[in-house]
Amino acid sequence: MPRWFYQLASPRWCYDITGKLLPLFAWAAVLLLLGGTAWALAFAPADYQQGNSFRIIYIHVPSAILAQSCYMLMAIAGAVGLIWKMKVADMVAKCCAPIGASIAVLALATGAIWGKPTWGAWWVWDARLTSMLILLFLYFGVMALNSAIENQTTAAQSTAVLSLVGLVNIPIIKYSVEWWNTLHQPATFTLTEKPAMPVEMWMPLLIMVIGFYCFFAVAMMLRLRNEIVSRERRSGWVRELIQTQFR
Amino acid sequence: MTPKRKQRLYIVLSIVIGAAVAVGLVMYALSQNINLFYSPADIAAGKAPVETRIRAGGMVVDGSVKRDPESLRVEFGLTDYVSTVNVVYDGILPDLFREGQGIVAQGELNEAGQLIAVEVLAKHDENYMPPEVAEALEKAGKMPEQLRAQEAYAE
Amino acid sequence: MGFESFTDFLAMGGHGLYVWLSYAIALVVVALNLMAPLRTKNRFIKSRHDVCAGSKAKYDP
Repeated sequence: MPRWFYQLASPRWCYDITGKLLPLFAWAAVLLLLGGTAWALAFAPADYQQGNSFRIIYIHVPSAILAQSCYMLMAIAGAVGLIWKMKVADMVAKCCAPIGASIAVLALATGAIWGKPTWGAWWVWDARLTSMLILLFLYFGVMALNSAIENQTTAAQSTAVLSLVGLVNIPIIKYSVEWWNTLHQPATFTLTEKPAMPVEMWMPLLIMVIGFYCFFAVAMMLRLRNEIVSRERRSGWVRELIQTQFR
Repeated sequence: MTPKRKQRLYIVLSIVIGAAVAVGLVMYALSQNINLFYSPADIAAGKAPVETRIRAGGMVVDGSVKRDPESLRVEFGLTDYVSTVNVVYDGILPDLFREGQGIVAQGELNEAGQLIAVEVLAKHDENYMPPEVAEALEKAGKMPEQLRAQEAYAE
Repeated sequence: MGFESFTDFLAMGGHGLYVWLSYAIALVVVALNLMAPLRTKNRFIKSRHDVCAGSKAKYDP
């Protein structure tokens, strides 16, 4: 195992490194999201069929991608916590759930708002929409389980198992549009193929996707730092921190 | 890795694989029910039940849309380039509805094999493009749905 | 710029409500995700300072 992997296990090291990374990601998120939004709303061309309602894609696709990535991070962090008994991994997994749930709500809400003018319906029980709703319920389940168990170690273990079981939903979301007949269109972005849209449409989308990831990093680090100082509140370095920095 | 960690790794892997196998089997058993709609070929082959609420999906046949001048009633052919189903609908069509567009119609099949629809939803693909590009492609006969139709008829 | 005027920009070709509602919800989600941890942090700091003040009060009267 490389050295950084063991450094990650130290809450204090994580607190210090996230303190340095936070402003970087915050600035990146602000610039990318503001620039991307302006491009998406004002400068990107409208779609030939959907007109301007197409602009919802610039929120919908990044949030849908992020909601799934966040789930994968939560499950992987949970697995690392289970195998290596790493406290920081448990904290990361715990912080993922509320962020991921809110992003999944955003993806579902913008999807419904986009569906009304294009498809003609807010909601359809097709495989893509249903599996995305299940993702949201998995997030809720993880959050409920985490708060229901008093003991932190037991809570982390149980939620890790639940997130690992729910991991099976991720490929289902991804391939639902290929495996079954759905109303939802196939993927806009894939890692292997050039997008079907012209560059003036996918460039702002790519910027928004990266911006959403940066925003996620910020939200994650803010929560993680709280979690670290709250769990380590009796240790010397946190006491010192409270007396020197938190005035 | 210590033997203890290795053992825990195997437990984690077996949880993931076990869940995947269980869900995979359930989905295999339900595969027909997860499909949102029947294709016109399924309906022609008699796979869709008659006089039960079903959905049918396909492309609106070019030149098949007949609108009743006095009401909202509209009739059109729905095709997957294998078979065609006649759809009758009385209601407001979505903005994206037009000939050559993919749609999903919900309704009941009557004995004549017509689908009496109560809801028509428009389906679109991932080929987003600005209007000018679409116009140019349309002129050249290179729109995605035109290419799909050409391919389907060539087979 | 794809729009003739600012009114056109707000109208979004008749889809204004849908587009602006989506972006507004996104703004709310982003804001909540930043505000919630900052509130937690402030509460934590306050409670810790109370603990420190409490222990001081006990030891030096």
